[in-house]
This record gives sequence, C-alpha cells and structure tokens, in this order.
Amino acid sequence: METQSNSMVNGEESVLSALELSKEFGTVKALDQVTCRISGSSIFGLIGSNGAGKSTFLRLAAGVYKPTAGQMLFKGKAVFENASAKQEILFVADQPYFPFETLEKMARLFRSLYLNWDQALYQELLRVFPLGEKNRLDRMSKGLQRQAAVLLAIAAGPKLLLMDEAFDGLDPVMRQNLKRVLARQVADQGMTVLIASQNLRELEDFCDHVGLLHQGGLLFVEELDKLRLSIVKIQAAFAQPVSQAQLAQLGLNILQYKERGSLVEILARGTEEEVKRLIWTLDPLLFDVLPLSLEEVFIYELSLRQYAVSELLA
Amino acid sequence: MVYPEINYQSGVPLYQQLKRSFQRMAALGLMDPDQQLPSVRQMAAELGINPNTVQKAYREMEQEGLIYAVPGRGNFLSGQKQDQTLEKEEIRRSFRHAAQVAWVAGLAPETLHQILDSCLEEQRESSE
Amino acid sequence: MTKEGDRHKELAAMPGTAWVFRQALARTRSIALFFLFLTFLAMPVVLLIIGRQNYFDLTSYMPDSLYMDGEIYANPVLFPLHLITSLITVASVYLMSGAQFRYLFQMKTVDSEVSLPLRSGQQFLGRLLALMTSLALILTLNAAFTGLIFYQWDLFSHFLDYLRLYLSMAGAAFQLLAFSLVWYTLSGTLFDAILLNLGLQMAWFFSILNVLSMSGRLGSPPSSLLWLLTPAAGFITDFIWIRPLAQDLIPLVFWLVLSWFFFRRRPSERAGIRNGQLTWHRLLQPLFALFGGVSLGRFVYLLFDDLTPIFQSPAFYLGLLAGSLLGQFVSSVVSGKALRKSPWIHELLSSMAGLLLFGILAVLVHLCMTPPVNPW
Repeated sequence: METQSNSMVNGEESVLSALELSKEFGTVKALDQVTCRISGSSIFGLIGSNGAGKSTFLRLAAGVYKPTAGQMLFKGKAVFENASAKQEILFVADQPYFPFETLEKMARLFRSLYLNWDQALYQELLRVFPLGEKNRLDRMSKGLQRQAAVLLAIAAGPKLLLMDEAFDGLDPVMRQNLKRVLARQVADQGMTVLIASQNLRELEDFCDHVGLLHQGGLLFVEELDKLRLSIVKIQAAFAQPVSQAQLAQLGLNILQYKERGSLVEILARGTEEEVKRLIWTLDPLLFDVLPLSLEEVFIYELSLRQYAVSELLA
Repeated sequence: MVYPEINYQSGVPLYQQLKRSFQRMAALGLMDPDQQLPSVRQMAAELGINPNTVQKAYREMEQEGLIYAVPGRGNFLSGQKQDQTLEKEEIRRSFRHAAQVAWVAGLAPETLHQILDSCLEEQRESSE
Repeated sequence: MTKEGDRHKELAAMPGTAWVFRQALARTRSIALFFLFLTFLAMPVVLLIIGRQNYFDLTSYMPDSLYMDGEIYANPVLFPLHLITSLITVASVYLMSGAQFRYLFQMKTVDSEVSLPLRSGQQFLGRLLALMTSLALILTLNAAFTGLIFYQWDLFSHFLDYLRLYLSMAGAAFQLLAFSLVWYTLSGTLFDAILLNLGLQMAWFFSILNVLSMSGRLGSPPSSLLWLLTPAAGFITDFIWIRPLAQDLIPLVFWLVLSWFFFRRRPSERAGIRNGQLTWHRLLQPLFALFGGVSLGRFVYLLFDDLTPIFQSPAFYLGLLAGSLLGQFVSSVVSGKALRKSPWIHELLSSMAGLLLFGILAVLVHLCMTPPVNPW
C-alpha cells in the first residue's frame, strides 16, 4: 500500500512514529506496514470504517498491544513495556473502564500514579464539565462516562492523548466544551491528540492532519487544509457554450465535469485562486465557488486510488 | 478582546473564516489599528479551534500585512490601509456579470438598482 | 526540558511494584478479611466454644492419633477443624488470586491496566506479593490465635504437635496459589482458567491414584513430586503419605517461575479467547485422554471382568481406548475448541498420546516403586 508521512513540522521531532507497523491476530492482519509520523501540538484524525484498524493502532500507541512487525515509537522509543513513555500517554477507550466507582477515587488513583498530574487543572475541569466528583461513574450515560475519562486523562498531563471516538454521544454543548479544553491543552502544553473516528464531519473542523485507514493499510496522511484547498468545486455559466476540452486546454486539471443546462459544475485540482484565474479568462456570466465537505474531498482523492468510499466509510 | 464569529456549517475552511472575519472587522472599524488580537491560546480556549489553525491564519494575515507580530507581546492589527485593489477588481467583475445576466434576462436597469439598494439595506441592518 | 539529573529523579520516583502491591492489597482487603474471619470461626472460636475441659476429655478418650507414621499429629478434635480450615484456605486462594488476575480476561480491563505506566513484571510481582502476604497473614494470624488459646489452656504441646500438619497445609496452599497463577497467565477467560486448574488437578490425581492402585503400589510413593500437577492434593496426602516440607518448595518455585515467564509473554489480545483455540492447550489434552482412559478402563474392568488381573484384562484395554477418545473429546468441547476446524487426526493423536502416557506411568511405577511388603 502506498503510504505518505508528514514528518518534521516546524522542525519538531515527531511525538508518535509508526514505522512499517504491522499487527496480526492469528491469520487476521489488522494493520499492514503502516508508516506515519505525528508531531507535537497537533490534533490528528485517524479516519476509517469499523475494522479498518483504528482501535488496533490506538492500542499499539498506548502500549497495550505489541507490534507483530515494525515499530511504534513515542519520542523515538518503543512504547511497549515502556513505563516512562506511558507516563505521558493516556488512552481513552470507546467504552471506558473505571477500576473505582467515583471520579474522586479515580482522581486519587491517577494522582498517585501519574507524575504530571495537575490537581489544579483537575479542579478546574470539574467546574467545566458537569460531572459530580462523588457520583457513581457506572450510573452515568456513555457520553458522560467518556467525558469523565477524558477529564482524568487531561488532568494527568499527557503529551499524547489517544481517543477512540471523541465526540460520539455528546450533545453540542458538551462537544464544544470538550473542544475548548482539548484546544487549550494543545496550545498550552503542546499536547498531541490522536482521535480515531468513523465520523468525518466531527473531525473536519478540529483536526489539522488526517490519516485514512482502510483494511489495515494507511491510504494517505495529509494536512487537512492542504486536502481541502487542493480541490475546488465551481459552478459557472458562460455566454458562449464552453466544452470540457476547452477548459482543459486552459490548463485546468478537471476531475469532474457536469453540465446542467447552461450551468456547468466543475471539480478541479488546484487552489481557488488558480482555478478562478483560469476560468475568468473565458469571461463567465456566473461564477460560484461551492463549499466542499471533507467527505467529498475524500471521495475524489480515493477515486483516484480506485476505492469506493461507500466501502471505506460504511 | 474581540473574538471572530465562526460558522461551522458554511463549509469554508476555518482559517479562511478567521482571516475574513478579522479583515471584515478591521474594514468595518470594529477593531482599531494597533489593537491586540486574541492570542493563539485564547482563541483555542474560547472558541475550541485547533491552535494550529489559528496560527496558520495569523501567519498568513501577517504575510498579507493585515497584522504584525511583536515577539513576547502578541499580534496586533496593522495601522496601514489595506490594499483593496484585488477586492475592488472582484467586485467590479461581479457587478459586470450581474449586469450581463440582467441584460440577457431583460431586466430594466431601474430594477437592478432597486435590487442593489435593498441588498445594501439588508447588510446595513444585519451589522447593527 | 528537564536535565539529566531531574530525569533520573523522575524515573526513580515513578511508581512501580510497591504501588501495584499497595493497590493489590487494597483490592483484596475485604476478601482477605472475610476469609480471616472464617478461619477464626473454624478453629480458634470453635475451640473456645468447646472449652478446655471438653477438649481435654475428648482427646484423652482417644489418645491414638489419626495418622500413620508418628510424625503428623491430628487429634480427634483438631482433625475435623483442620479439614474445614483447609477447605476455607483453598477457597481463599482461588478467590483472592481470581480477584487479582481477573483483569486479564476482558479487553476493557486489559486496556485500562496495561496502558498504565507500569511494566508487566511490576504488575505481576506486585499482585503476587500481595497474594502471598494476604495468605500468609491469614494463616499466621489463625495459627497465632490458636496457639494463644492452647497456651492459655496450658496445653501448648498439643499445638506444637499440630503445627507440623498446619505448616504442611500452608505449604500446599502456597503451592496451589503458584499453580493457579500459571493458568491465569495462560488462559483467555476466567472460566477456562478455573476449569483447567480444577480439571487438571482432578485428572492427574485420579489417574495417578488409579495407576498406583492397579499396580498394587498404593503404600510407597518415592516423592511428593508425584503430585506435581495436583497441588491441592497436598491438603490430604499428608494423611496417607508424609512429605518433607522442603519438597513443597520445589513445585512452588517451579510454578512461580513458569507463571512469571508466561505472564511476561502473554499478549493482551488473549483476553476473551477460549483455551481450546490456543496452541498450548493441545499439549495438555493428552492428560485428559489419560484420565478418561484410565477411569473408563477401570470402570469397564470392574463391571465385566474383575476376576482377571487388570493388566491382562481385555475389558480394561477396551475401556482404556474408548476412554482416551472420550477424554480427548470432552476436553476439546469444554475448552471451546472449534472441532469442525481441528483435523480429526490431531484429536486421534492426542488420545494416543494419552495412552502412551498411561504406558509410561505404568512402566515407571512398576520399575521405580517396590510393592508393599506382604504382612503375612
């Protein structure tokens, strides 16, 4: 599988590196030679359908699984059996488990275990999230339980926060609160967040990098804005009918061309400025740049690699 | 501290929204020259936006001359008048095309003026 | 950025085995206290209820002790109390060890524990030490209390005589603990771990017993290591064959080393997988074939042909063959093995291995053990 890497952003060393990482369970290959570098102070979205290997990747990063082949490195050192690395890596599972019944007791546990525990931050987060310290965790809804797990994880001061589904089950207010807290930690502490999700929509506005996993292979890793800016959707109308060939002759890299009556819908490679410049040479009557959702970008990126997105994001 | 408005539904990339929002606030006089912009941290904590997104926007705004950075102090709105030639060109084109469409559709020039006036009125009302 | 010195200090301050130990003790505190309470009831309290006079009367009436060789002493009062205490001790071993290691059997608890900043060695050692401490505390406090009562009664010599048996029981308990750890570390589910633990002990014990009895050599085992795979036997074999306390150490160390080794190599993803689907399990199945074979063989022999010497009875061998296949089959089914996928030749070979084991045991018993001297 073709893989790309986003190494060395701003000269920062990557916080998490997967190098030809493979994980097999018996005959099932959950991850196949995944290579990827994630830098500090980044919010990375790992997208993929069920069974694509997201949870496996997260567990390898958390040091729960041992790689079958290749390496999973945190700050250059293998995570597995590495207690000092795990001091700085916190994992929030899809269905969090709490060895103790209340937040208060869990906080005491974490405080005794994690050297970077910040009691003041913990108290502050308690005020931000509507969770009672003495309430029974097992009686809370799944969304609230996840919030509790995130609260504890953040207060432990991780350098790398791993989340299996961050926003699932949270109402809009909780979601916004969570984003604020996470964004602040990334800004303040240089924390890196790795969110695994099936839901592009939620990650679209939050991640700075995304990687797409499919059947254990990493299809691509890219800076989100680059992805979005690399494709443009234009709706235009011309006084004189214009053919696709004419547009192509201008130097336009057309991915899709649809004619609806006198209106033309074009999907082209390039930045908005470039495409605009080229099309305006033909003096269009009408010219609109239509917003592209990340999902649409994915569809076209992947159609190049001959995948049907319905398979990937099912 | 003035914070920009973000529309998560619009489909426009966040960092572009940030830029445009600051540009607009500056143009409308909602922000004064040399006024301090929120720090990356403040933007992140207040709006829940990825700090990298904010940094990207600020960097581009700095390159375009919209803001300037003072090391250790923060980012500040530029005092200089923004070069609006590009925008004026865009606007001129938009009007030209609207006029062409109206001409082809057989609309009277007065109707076109009416449409323009009501649009401007709408904008004025929404920004108050 | 912290400097090298600070980093070293940080690493030294990192919680490790001691932290796990404290957590583990807290985890089984209520269970341990419960069993302490039960053992207190079973011996010291009962003695107090019986009272000195009754005790003295009961034990003087039947001065002969229930044992064989004059070394182990269990008078008519202490003997039943000892048995009950043994049962309670066995239960405490299973429940406490289960509580410490049950996290291994569910992915969500594994996620939670293994992502903690601890090494697997520390997790194992901390929990093991907590278990041993709890068990030792229960046994010691119980003994201390009992001893105190006898001291008050001015019958301390009774207690000292009994102590030898008590220590033997303690040895068996620790062996059982170590043995149990092996199956926790190897198995994928708690159910399989306990089942294998009990099944293996039962299978081994009765197989050996049968072979000994068939060979007419019930009286003279060369070593208590014969019961290696049945540490629980240690609770009762003392009444028939005495073992030196030091011999308890060998199996104890053996099982501890083995469980340590298996724990370190255990993959987290084993949580929830049935034992029948794990490769190592196949190596143990011949033991169940052996058990099935010997048991059924004996049974058929007794039913149809108990006049011929057993080793020459065709009925026995028929039962042996059928039983070995049955034993193999049952162990495969019970352990959740996908029989449809397993080639029948493997199952057959495993049964044959069980038969081979029987052959080897029978030969060894005949060669290495002398039959008891005929009293006439």
